[in-house]
Parts: sequence; C-alpha cells; structure tokens
Amino acid sequence: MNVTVLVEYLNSTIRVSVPIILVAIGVCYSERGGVYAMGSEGYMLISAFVSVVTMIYTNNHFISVLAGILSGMLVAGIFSYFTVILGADQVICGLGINFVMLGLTSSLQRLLWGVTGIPRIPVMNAVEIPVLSKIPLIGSMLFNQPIPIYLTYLLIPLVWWIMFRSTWGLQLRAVGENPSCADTLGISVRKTRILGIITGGAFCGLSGAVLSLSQVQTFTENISGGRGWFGLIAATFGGWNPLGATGAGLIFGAAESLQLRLQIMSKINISSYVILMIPYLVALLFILFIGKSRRHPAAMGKFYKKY
Amino acid sequence: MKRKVLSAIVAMGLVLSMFTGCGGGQEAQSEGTAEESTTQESSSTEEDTAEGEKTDVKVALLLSGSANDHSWNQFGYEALMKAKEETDVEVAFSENVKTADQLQAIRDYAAKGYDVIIGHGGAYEDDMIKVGAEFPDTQFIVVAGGKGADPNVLAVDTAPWQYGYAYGWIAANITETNKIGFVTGMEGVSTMNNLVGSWRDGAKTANPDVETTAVYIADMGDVAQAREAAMSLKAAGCDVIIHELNAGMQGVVDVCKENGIYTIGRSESDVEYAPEQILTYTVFDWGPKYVDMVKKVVEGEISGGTYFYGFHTPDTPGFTFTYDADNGWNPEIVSTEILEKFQTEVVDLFAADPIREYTAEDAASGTK
Repeated sequence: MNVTVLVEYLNSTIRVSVPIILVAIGVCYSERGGVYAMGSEGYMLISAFVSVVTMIYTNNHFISVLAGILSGMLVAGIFSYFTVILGADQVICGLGINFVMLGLTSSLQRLLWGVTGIPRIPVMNAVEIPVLSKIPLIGSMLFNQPIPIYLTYLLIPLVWWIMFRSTWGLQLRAVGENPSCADTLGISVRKTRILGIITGGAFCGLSGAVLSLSQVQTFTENISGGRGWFGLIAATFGGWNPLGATGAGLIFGAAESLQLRLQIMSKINISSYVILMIPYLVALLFILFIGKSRRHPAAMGKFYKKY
Repeated sequence: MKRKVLSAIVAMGLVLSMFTGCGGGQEAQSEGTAEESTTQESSSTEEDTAEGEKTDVKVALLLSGSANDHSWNQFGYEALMKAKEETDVEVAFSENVKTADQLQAIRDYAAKGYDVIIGHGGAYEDDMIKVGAEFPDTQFIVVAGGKGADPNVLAVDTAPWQYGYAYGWIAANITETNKIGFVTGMEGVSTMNNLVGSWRDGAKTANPDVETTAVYIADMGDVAQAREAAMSLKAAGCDVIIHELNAGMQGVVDVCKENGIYTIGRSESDVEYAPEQILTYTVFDWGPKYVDMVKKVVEGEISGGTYFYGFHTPDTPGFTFTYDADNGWNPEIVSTEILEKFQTEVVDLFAADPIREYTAEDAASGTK
C-alpha cells in the first residue's frame, strides 16, 4: 500500500465515520436517560431532507445545517411525547418514526421535484487548517475537512463533559438508572428524559445534514441507508459513553472504507459479497460477544409513571 | 429478555436497510385503471367490427411499480401505449404487481385469453416459465430477462455485453494513466457479469496494458457509498470511471467532476452538470423495441428463448450513445479517429457476431 492510497484511506475513514459517530452520540443521550433511540434513522432522514431543501432555497450552509438539526429535534420531540408522556412502547414508536420518515421524505421529494429530480446543491468545501494539515499521514485526514467535521471534533469532549461532569448529565443518568429515586430527589423524570431525547435528535439531525450537505450533495430516497442503525450499535459498543461511541464509530468507518480498498487491491478472487460483509460482520460479532457484557442503563425501555 | 429482542431488532434493521434500495413503490395493487379496462371492453365488441381493421391480438402488461413512477415502470407503460398505436393490438395492464402476486396475475391474464403477456422486468422470468408450460398457446415475454424458455417464453433484452464492451474500449483509448475503473453492485447477476466482463474485455482488446479495476458496493442507491468507491478508484490512479448504479451514480459523477476524471452520465442533465467530464449517456428507448417485439411475436418470427437488441439490430437500436444533438460521444475527449476505429473494431464486430457471454470470473471485483 503506497502512501497516497493510505492517506486516502484514512481520509475516507473519517468521512464515513463522522455521520455514524454523531448518531452514536445522539443515541447515548437518549438511552442514558432510559429511552431506546430506535428512531435515529428517521431523525437522520428528515434532517437530510430538510437541510437540502433549505440549502436550495437559502444557499447558505450554516442555515441549512441549523434547519436540519431543528427538524431532527422536532421529530425527536414528537417521539418523546408518545413515549415519555403517553407511555407508548419505545421500540415500536421508534421503528414507526423510521418508516414514517422514509415514506414522508420520499413522497415529498417526488411531490416537489417529481419529474426533474431534486437539484444538486453546491459542494461544502473542505477547509484546510494551516500547519496542522501538513502533519504527515494524519494531517490531511484530520485537518482538511468540511467545517461540520471540525465541529464534531470539538463536540466530542464537550458532550462527554456534559454527560459525566455536569449536573444535568448526572440527572440524565439518574433517571435512566433509577427514575423513582431521581423523582424523590426532585428531578423531573419527564423533563430530563424529553431533553435527553431531543438532544439525541439534534445530533442525529447534524449527522443527516453532514451526510446530505457535505457528502451526497443532494437528497436521495433512503439516504441514511442504515447509518442510523450503525450509530445505535456504536453507542452500545461504546458503553453509552460518547468517547467509547466515537471509537466504535471509527472502527465501523474503517471497516467500511477498508472493504472498498480490499476489493481494489485483492489479487486473489474473493467474492465482493464476502468483503462487503466486513462492516456488518464487525457489528454482529460485537453484538454477540462484547454486547452482552455491557450493562445498559437499568431503567432502559421502561415507562415511568408518576403517581 | 428485552436485550434479546433488542439485538434481534437491530439485526433486522441492518438486514432491512440492505434491501430497501431494491424495494419502494406503492402498496395498493390496482388492476389497470377504470378507463383502461373499459376501453378494452368496448374495443373488443362494437368498435372492433365497426373499424374492421383491428387485429384480434390482446396484449397484457405487468408492472411491478406504478405506471407513473418517472422511471422503469413508466418506460414500460409508455412503450406499451406506443405499441398499441403502431400495431393496432388491444392492451391491458396491471401496475404494482408484487412479487408474491405475480404468478397469479400472469395466470389470470392467460386464463382470460390474452395472446401476449409481457412481464416488465427480469423478476417475472421464473413465474412466466412456470405459467408458460401451463398455457402453451399463449406467448409470454420477459423484458430484461436472461434465459426464456422454448417454445413460448421469450426473454428480450438489450445486449449488455455490447455497450459494456464499448465503454471499456473507449475508456482504454482515452486513458492516460492506463488505469480505468468500474463502480457497480450485484456481483454475480448475469447482466452484471456480461456488463463488467465485456468492459474488461473491450478495454484489454483496445489496449492490453490497461489495468481494469471493478468495485462492487452493497447498495446501488447509496450516493455516499458510491462516492467513497469512486474516491478509492481515484486514489488508485484511475482516470476514467464507468458506473452502473441507481441513485448512487450521482456520487460517482460528483467525484469525477471534482477531480477531472472522465465518466458517463445517465441523462441530459448529467451532461449539463459536468460537460467536460461526461463522455456519453446511454439511452435505452424501450418504445421502438416494444413495437418491434410485439410485431415479431404476432407474425411468429420469434417465440421462445432469448432475443437481444444491439449493434446488430440497427433498425431498432438496443441503445444509443448520446452526448448532445450532434454527437454520440463528447467530441472534446473522443476524437474522430477514435470513433472511426470504434465503428470498425466495435460496431462491425458485434454486427457480425452479436452474442457473447461472460462469466462471474471475468467480472470479478479487483484489479486485472
């Protein structure tokens, strides 16, 4: 493997990982509060759609990313109303969100741009950070990327700090472990959980916006293509810790990029299906072996009814 | 317990996400439209005798999606309407025929006495062969089918090895790095074997020093994935990248536009988007082919097995390379000398010897 190919591989790993990492962080926030984040794929879809539509009308990346995040939060808000206030089954609701968003975005797209197809949007250029981007090997991988990627770097330590060092983070983890105990201490279980879910929606929204604005540069049906699920697994992999989830996201991204390179470099005949399996195999093996040992928040999936 | 359920659902979600690319479409199954079935009724009784010109042939078309999907199924519907105009046959169609219902739908039409039943898509092939044995007097046509069956199941398609060979031949003639790439999905499917295998063959025939690299992606509709695949080919040094994808093709075109790599498009809008990078786009107009195949079937010229359109059927071309109104290929990139050679070395080659077959090994992923 020569150096250009290696640098390109590392670059690709970051591009593929970032959307997964962002979803994984979002999932951490929702699930630490005790609510399954099955709708992550749906939040991504709506955000990808809304941000592209906003981009077409405003031609401003900042506003578009913001609109995407808000749409993710909105849908997460609807989800939280059903699950936290009404006590509906979290898994069913989350899956419902995914299907509704897939249908909604696809039909809206056809309704608005049926014949011609949705327009392409201007590319979000990579911004090179001077000096740092000249570091051999990892320089251009880490420091020659579009702005949302840098934002992700900054967010990772921040979200870790909020979850494990701030009062709200402590409250969130408390309602996820033992909601009745948290309740007796005067923490509003509902409010905290809803906030956790909506924060999760914001991160999934950012992920959808990054995917559609900086990589795909348009909206296509089912644009998220399973990345929401990978995020869900990465969060579990990382023990619902944003740092662990980031590591897991990087592993998935690396596996996904590696399979493309393996196909190119393989001199022996391996079916591409075997190589394509790699990222999924990594995920499955994880669920089988390491997944068991992770202790999930004790109250996860349980509706807390206040009497 | 809850954890097991959760793992199962996550696993299901992963599997589902792999399949969604192929699915889509509406839920409701409607058999024709109201107007369509009434026209069909009236024409078969009064109008028929009044005009006295109509043939008695009744043609039915099965579509897997909706007839106005702006894509594959609409092409089929419009082609059928064209065949109706030009050949005076009676037509009926069913849209949104799901895989589970297609066997029954084919059988119903056959039992109702339709003479020609067309399945618009290779997915109808196995069921048509099954029903074909039950109704030996009915003619079945599988559009984009691969094998057909004697005596009454006909598989009709555009010869993929002909345009695949053309892509490879042209790419090998214009590459400067002697490295060319192909991004697609569904390795091992016979159309893909023929397409990618012939692309390799065409390139190697034109220039034996060319390295050909094929990359298969999991979801042909995933733009980000296709983009990464094209980026990996770029890193490997390819300066011409061909693709056969669904929505994912946009990712390939984007990478090519950004990096000055030559590629192909799928429609006029791609040429407008990247005029300097697009070599051509291939138009598969099914209208004339439907007219031609219905005529040939009615006249008894063809009935079973396979029938292909391509360079060898110049009156009903299987595919047309299009760049703009005057040019088939981008004149800035593909010179007249190359095109003259193309005529003798590719077009005439297939006109004389149209049928070829490539194996999964010819089309294997990786560099050869």
